[in-house]
Amino acid sequence: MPKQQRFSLPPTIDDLSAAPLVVKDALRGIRLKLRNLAPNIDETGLFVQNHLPLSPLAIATTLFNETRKITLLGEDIARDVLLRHRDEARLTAFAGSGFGRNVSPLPEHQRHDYVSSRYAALKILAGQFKADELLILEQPIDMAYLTLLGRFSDVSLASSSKNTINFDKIAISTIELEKSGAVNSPNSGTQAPRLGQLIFAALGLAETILALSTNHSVESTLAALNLAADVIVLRKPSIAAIFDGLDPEAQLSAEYRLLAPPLTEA
Amino acid sequence: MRLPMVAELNGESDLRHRIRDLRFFEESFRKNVQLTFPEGAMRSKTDQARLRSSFLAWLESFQANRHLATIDRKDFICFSAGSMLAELFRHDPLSISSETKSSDSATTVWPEGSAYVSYCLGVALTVLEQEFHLSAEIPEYANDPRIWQSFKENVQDNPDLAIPFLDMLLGQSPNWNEPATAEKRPAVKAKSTPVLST
Repeated sequence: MPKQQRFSLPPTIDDLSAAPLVVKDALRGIRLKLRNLAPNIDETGLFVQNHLPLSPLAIATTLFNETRKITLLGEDIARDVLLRHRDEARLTAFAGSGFGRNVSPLPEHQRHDYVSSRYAALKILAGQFKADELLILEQPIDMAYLTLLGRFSDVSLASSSKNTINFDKIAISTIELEKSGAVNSPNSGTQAPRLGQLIFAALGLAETILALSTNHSVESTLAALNLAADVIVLRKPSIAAIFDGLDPEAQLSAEYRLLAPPLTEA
Repeated sequence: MRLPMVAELNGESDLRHRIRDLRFFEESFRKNVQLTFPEGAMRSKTDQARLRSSFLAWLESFQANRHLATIDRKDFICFSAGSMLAELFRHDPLSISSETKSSDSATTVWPEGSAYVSYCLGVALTVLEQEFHLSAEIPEYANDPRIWQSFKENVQDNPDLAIPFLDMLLGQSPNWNEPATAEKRPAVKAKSTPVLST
């Protein structure tokens, strides 16, 4: 029997601040599993019932299932409204918390902003790619952030000016996040590019568009995410070649250099 | 042939940069379609994904060849407009249904094709005017339906032939053999061939 996936605890005591994320991700995984445990439903969406007289236990089960269905519907509506607002609020930090611009020293809340805004952006992008049910986890984003922080302390990756956009850093972040496992995209066999790769490529492109722009409002961030998703779909062959290529970071950086300026609002 | 967009495009300062903005490209392309087919009898539909694909493919070609602008800027403007036209033909974002015949021969023979040509020609003429104060005359044969019929057949066979066709309309020497290879254009070859000293 295959081992069940566990949500690993952070490896060091320094990373204990990531512990709440582990719990949140574990709950997300459980919630997704519960949502997938749908009772028997026929093609018309009705519960399958036999026509034999129901036992008290069967009646109780049916009643439980019907109640559960109504509760889930109510919960879905409430969640959709409330969480959409919360995700959009988290996006305010998206443009300012990336590695594309050289800000030194990094603000204290950078780590939190980076993780929560990228999580929110990934959820919005998953919706754009018609994959609302995709499991997205925050802890891998946090781990990727720490890895990137260490990597970007290398001065060779720094831009010459604070005002220039570092396309390389955005591309490196995108590849690191894609490898992190933050998006559990379904295994679609040999199909390339994978859904997760498209989503992360769009995330990086949106970050680049916003880095070139001065307008970082929630509306602009949403517009950048929407446009980036549309364009990345049209660039599928290039994205597949980039992720399967020899130097994906350099190639993705070149792709962002090509695409982002014409997509940035004047 | 009608170029309804020229006056509109001339209102844009620095069109050569503006045209590299996806939003501006989409908006001006749609406006050109509206102005080209004002009659109610012609209905047009633009496929946004195809229009964006043409823009992205053109952008790639533009970036790959832009170093040639230093050799002959005017020729590069014509080549870029031709490349845009080739990508519009390749992705074909426009579909037009008409119930009446237009007075314009190009529009009658090939409404979609004439819309693509009028847009790219309008962009090229405006940029040439803004950059070099040139006002090119469109040759008389641009109104000959036989030219349009031949052009349609050729471009359906090879969209890149749109590049030398646009060169002809702009009075630039065309390269029919390798139309998409910018280095092989007569103007580029003439200026980049090293002079051998004796």
